[in-house]
Amino acid sequence: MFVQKLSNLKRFVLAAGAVLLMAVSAYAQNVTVKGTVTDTNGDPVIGAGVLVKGTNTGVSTDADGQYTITVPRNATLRFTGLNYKEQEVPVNGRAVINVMMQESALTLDQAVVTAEFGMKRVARSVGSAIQNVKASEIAESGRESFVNALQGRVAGMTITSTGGAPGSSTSVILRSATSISGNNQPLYVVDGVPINNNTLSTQSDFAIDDAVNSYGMDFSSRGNDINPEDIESMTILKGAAAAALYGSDASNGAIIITTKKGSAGRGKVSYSNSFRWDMPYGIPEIQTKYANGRFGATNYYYTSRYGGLYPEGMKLYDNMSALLQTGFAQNHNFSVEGGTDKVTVRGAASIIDQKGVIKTTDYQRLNFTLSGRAEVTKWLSFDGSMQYMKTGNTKAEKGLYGVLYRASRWPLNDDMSNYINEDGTMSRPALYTDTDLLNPMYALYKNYNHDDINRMVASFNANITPTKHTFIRATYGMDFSVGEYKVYVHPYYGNPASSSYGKGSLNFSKPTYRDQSIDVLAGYNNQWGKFSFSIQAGYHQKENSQKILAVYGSNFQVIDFYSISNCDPASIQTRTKTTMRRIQAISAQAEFGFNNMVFVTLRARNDWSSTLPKGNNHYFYPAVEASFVASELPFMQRQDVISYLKIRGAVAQVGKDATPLSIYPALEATDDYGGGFRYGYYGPNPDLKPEMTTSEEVGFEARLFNDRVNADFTYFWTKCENQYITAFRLSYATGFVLNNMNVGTFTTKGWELHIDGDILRLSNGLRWNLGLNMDHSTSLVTELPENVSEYYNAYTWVSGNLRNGISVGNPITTMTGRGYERNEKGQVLISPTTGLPLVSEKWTIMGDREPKLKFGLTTSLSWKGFRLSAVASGRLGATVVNGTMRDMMGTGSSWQSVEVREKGPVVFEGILKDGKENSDNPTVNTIAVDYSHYGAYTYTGTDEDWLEKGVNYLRLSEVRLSYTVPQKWIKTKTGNFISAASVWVKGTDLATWTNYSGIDVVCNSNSASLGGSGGVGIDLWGFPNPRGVAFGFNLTF
Amino acid sequence: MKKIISIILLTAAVLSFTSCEKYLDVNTNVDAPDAIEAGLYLPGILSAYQGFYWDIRALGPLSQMMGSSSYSNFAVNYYSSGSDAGGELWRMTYWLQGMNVENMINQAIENEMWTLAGIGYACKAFSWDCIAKYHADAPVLQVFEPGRLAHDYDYQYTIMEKVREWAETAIEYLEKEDNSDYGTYLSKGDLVYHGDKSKWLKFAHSVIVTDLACLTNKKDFNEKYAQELLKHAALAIDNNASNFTVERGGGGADAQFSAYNNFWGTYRGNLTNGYWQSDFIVEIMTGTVPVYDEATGDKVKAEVPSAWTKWELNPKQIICDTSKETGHYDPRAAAKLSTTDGQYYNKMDDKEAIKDWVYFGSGFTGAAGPNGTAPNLYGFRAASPSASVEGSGRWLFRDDAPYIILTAAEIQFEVAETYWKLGQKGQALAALKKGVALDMEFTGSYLNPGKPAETSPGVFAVGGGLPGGSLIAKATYNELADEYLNGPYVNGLKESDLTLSHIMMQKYVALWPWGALEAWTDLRKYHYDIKYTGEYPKKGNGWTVSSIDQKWDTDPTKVYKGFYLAPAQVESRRGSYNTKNEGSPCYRVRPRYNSEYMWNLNSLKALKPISGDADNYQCSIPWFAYPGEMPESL
Repeated sequence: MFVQKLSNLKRFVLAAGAVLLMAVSAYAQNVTVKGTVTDTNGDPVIGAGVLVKGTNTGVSTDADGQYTITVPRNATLRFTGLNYKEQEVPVNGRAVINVMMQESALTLDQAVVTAEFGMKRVARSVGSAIQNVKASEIAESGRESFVNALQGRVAGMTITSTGGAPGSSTSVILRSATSISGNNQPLYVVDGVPINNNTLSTQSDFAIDDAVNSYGMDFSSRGNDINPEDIESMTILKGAAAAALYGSDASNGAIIITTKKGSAGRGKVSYSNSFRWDMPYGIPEIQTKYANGRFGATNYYYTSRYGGLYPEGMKLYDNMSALLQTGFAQNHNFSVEGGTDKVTVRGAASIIDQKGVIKTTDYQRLNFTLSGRAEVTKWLSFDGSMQYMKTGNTKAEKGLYGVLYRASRWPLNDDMSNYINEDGTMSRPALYTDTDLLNPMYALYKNYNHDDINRMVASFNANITPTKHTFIRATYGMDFSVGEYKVYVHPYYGNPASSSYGKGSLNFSKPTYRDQSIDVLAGYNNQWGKFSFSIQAGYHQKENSQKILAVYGSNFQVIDFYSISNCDPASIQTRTKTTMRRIQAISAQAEFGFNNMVFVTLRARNDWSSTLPKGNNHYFYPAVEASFVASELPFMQRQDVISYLKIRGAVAQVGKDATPLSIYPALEATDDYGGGFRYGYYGPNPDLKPEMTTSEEVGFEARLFNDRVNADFTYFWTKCENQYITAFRLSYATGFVLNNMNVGTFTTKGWELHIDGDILRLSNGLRWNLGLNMDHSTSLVTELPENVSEYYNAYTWVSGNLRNGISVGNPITTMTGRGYERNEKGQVLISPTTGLPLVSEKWTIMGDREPKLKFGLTTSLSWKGFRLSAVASGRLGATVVNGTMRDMMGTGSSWQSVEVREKGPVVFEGILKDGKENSDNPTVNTIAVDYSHYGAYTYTGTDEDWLEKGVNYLRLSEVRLSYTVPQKWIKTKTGNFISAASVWVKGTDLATWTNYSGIDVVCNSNSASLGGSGGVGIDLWGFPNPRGVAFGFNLTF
Repeated sequence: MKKIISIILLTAAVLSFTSCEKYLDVNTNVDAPDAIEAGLYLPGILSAYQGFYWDIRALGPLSQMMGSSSYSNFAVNYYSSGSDAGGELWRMTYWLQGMNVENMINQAIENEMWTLAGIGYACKAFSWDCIAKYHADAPVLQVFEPGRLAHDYDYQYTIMEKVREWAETAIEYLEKEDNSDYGTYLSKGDLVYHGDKSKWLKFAHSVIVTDLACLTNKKDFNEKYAQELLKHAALAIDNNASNFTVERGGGGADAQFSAYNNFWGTYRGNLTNGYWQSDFIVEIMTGTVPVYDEATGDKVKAEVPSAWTKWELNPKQIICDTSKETGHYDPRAAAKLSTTDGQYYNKMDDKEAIKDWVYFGSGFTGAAGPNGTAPNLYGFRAASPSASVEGSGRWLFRDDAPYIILTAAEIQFEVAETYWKLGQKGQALAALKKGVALDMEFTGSYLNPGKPAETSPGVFAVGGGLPGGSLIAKATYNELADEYLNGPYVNGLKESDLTLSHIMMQKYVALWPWGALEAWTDLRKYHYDIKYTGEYPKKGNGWTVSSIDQKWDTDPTKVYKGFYLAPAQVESRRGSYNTKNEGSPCYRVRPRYNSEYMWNLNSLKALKPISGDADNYQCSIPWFAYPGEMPESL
């Protein structure tokens, strides 16, 4: 009975799915073959190619390893797959052909990497470093953002999430930064179309400048909109070599994503879900010993905790916890797919609903995808996809003045969670007579920080094969999105003594982004004996258009109503920001191969960009790659330790244009009495040139011990010249404060290592695999203009005087700050009057945020249907700015400050600055200073004291246990209604082992929108990543 | 097939490249202009003069016009290290005006808009004159050169020469016939004179006067500069209607942009309770400069202490004295200074009550002065001012007060000083009298008398309206002003009794506090009345690391009677300077940190005799204060 019902349902679902399908033609003399492709462990092989031998027709297997193909009865099927031995199976009229594929080096090198506008290249011919990530791993990670799922999985990829709040932006760097001030993020390419990965700028994308603190608000990065479930394969192209085809935007590497297009065969409906609970973790602890006050006397007038002991029995509240809750995220994915070997189609919908661990924060995402491919004629095939994405994100303010900070300042004797008075105003702490403390709970419930994005990404590809050896491929892509960003401040969120109290403010920004690209490639390839040869030429056109309409208003008439029409008309300010960037380019590539052993590829591209001055607006950049498959040599084939060895090298150059409107600054309307116009901060630069990055790399790939161990190593070095620096600071004698200039050169070098292997591979199917990714990079600034002692981004100046300053002779990831004043021998100088160390007036390099080593560990243990996997990532020798603890020390809210205070008098080690400090007999300091008598703020040392160096950490980012129900069993039990099922349970970010004392080692004081090295490595009241526990199941009908 | 494709490709290629230029021509800003008519630059250039008021937070304490806990580094003759504090005039001259002025001038000349070109040159000249007086040495010859990243410093004399050259150019343009149609660019956009060319001409002459006036201590002043000064003074600003003042919209919280309000008004609140009237200004304006025991530096206790001072008063007061007789009281005290008396606004026309009001001046870095705590500058309380009590403020400390930049009185005192130097005492006295009368009128014109309070200060039951305001009625002020002008300190002053102190101290009072830069220039010119031998003071000759040897008030050569620097060891002015000063008072303000110390350090380092990055660069004596040429090294 039950089975019967299910069958009906199945029919209905299939019928619904069929509506989506295009006309499917069948041939009477043909037979439809279906089956499952598995590996030696019985795990499905995803994306394996199933081809009709001697033709170009074929399909690939789906997420469950299944395929369906219509072929002539007497055909032979070729099964291919990345990392698997090719197999040929004659059909002989059979309807079901299940295949178990052997992993093998013999074919591994034949595997193709999907790259370069969907054009496939044989892996062995590629001369630069490429890493593929299995789509299933990304989907299994269960992260809302596929980018975060890559953490630890790719050597040389550094992922820094701005925080643990839902929808946080993510900063991704491949290898190392290539720009001092600009974008260092890789290019995201979906189905051959570069997509927008913007993060809204808090500084200039609202109606008023710096409407929102760049360290306070984080607007999610648009790369996060992609649904991990839609990804079929992902290829990471590191280094500048990628740029030869994708253009200068790929100079920081590229992440090439191919989405699922549906597979041929029996129509299929899949459903999967995930339920995750997140627990707050790593929130700093507030000391409960000393009350508010100063000089040891309790006085609630002071917000700092330098008073006396809390009276016994006084009720103290855990105000930090008042902000927190258990987060919950659920995710549901549906997909329908089907087709024939000629036409396939896939439709999918996915929904995510997440509640963050900070109250009121949330994230929702809806993805609809329709994609498919069709072999229209023998010489024309077509594929396309359209994705609609809608995201909503409510966030809380982070950083200095964020909700965690404010909670830390709230007196413990007051229950902060009673945040609202009866009349709707914000409650003030008891015993505190001033009115300047702001209740963060009120901020969470009464302010509104939200963004909504509606986005459409579409791509269309046509492949024409006029003759056997030629092809033309044309791609059109469009990424269109409209965002609505709101930052509303409630009228009662403020100090009643201030003139802005009772007014409220509203910032609303509506950006429309439209990115279009057209790429046409034509090529020819052929083989003559041992020589293979292919050339191609391309024409590329790209347009990035941005239109922002932003409005600001204040003075709400109706207190609790958030709308621009509720604002005082006199307060309203607006801004429009329209930019357009266009690029035209031609490219060419030639690849020569000999004996399947030696390959040389030459590439070149010339761009014309709209953003550069007319005379300087085109730039040419070439690349050359070579690979040598040493294992093909006869003597290598005689041994069996090394089954595959490829040595490769590449030299690539890439030019980069400027951001739009960099040449001539617009005049700005003055906001001063009398009106008129004047220059803003920026000066003109009619001589702007493209910047040039030259990147070189050598490396090898090897497979050892009968393919049980894979290793890949790359050594790279890069020279980044003519650095185009935005907001380059100048002497005002130039007439301006900032300019966009070509200044500075720096070099980077480093290495990446990936190694994985099967530790165990037993005949009973038990298999234990362990993988390691490691990388290290250093950089060196070799040239800055002579007048520049330091270049920094002022928005990173958030903790003391530390900022992301760089200077010649040092890496580009340094921090500068004002350390102790020292004598010629380097001894700390002490003030003879206060006994405290003196602070230097000069900014000097304080530390390098680039860790000595970054690594990721992946492991999996599988046996029959069970699979246990884990991912961990870590760093060694990092330098992190502990701004949070510094702040808490100053205000006496940390236990550390209690310790210092109770220590009694301290004599700072150093030399008195009494005029004899540089003599042979300097006066050694003997002045004792008592911290507890320092007043309302304790002595917090200098910038030097708050850089934690030699920080090591290891984070267990994922542990997952899954069980795949045996297919036979489930099919029998459900009457073929369910063809596959699996259940899983998982933990994310379960534990971190570190010697770091702050909130989070992987932190960013700002957001991914900041260029250059940004605020990465500055920990200042960010939201730590929560611990999550999740479960879910996958069903295929 | 191949053919077809080749043709398509070729056509596509040709088409796209012929239209390439057009396709790529999208790099223009559609939201804001990158070129405008010359006249649209003007209001921004003029409103940038608020930069003065920013930096008076440093200059007030440096010139002892104000005490400050907020800019306390300047109050102790030091600077704020690694900070842009005190760098606003730099920002104003080089950037806010900078290229905007250049563009305006160039476009105006191109379009034969001579008046506008003249205005541009006059403003440029004046702003750089301020740079020269404030920072002494600064880049001027190499500025604004496209592509240049490092700028050599020019010494003060070069800048001052340039200033006079630009002012002469301004005069030349302003004297040309100009029939351009300015529309509202001048009638509205000229926030100073609304296009009155004759007044701009006076201003241009005034720039030369004030530029030369700081050179009176130069050995060759009389022969080289004095006549030129007098020549231009005759054509300079000569009445209060021609004062160089920049209009403000005011409006408090209702103003569209907060900058419509005066930087010193209550709405923007930049002079909260971190700035006060100094003890020195209160002493001289109320005639209470005390007598010091020259052996100990202590003040001499009065036998009968008065309400406001327990000290014996110097019988030779310069501005006024405490006598109740007619003409001895200077009503500018009631207009300029704050007092906690009279706060009910019910004695605004009571002359005798007004004379009895008590004024307290602050210490160098704190509100507490030797006699009492100085109230805030907006009204009458020691507490932080707020718009609900002090309203929109009083006198120049209010939201809609214009920025006062240069006045007729100032010019007259400079004329008086020049005549004094030339030994023409009669003309000097005449100019002094004219100057005081002009300042008396100027001061009175900014009175905004408050309304009587009903119950307590700031509570206005009847009539409503904004609280706060000046404490003296206009008519009462005018009456007292006439009495004072006809009294012993002005019209009654005999040529034989005239001293340089009368001229310089009346100038100091007139400049308080908006003209702190000029006042500080005068103080430095007279080397702060430091006792030294030879041409100029230096370590060991005038000061040591811990003390300054200052002339006593009884010394007839002392210009500023009652003025003592912090380490001069007189009672209630005792203190010490930062060790890096090595005992020296401050002689110049360092250039803007984030412009020069960050991005032009090498040029700064090349300065002599003290390098720009030296610990005591702020103590380097500028050229104008050396009687002769600057030494190459010290």
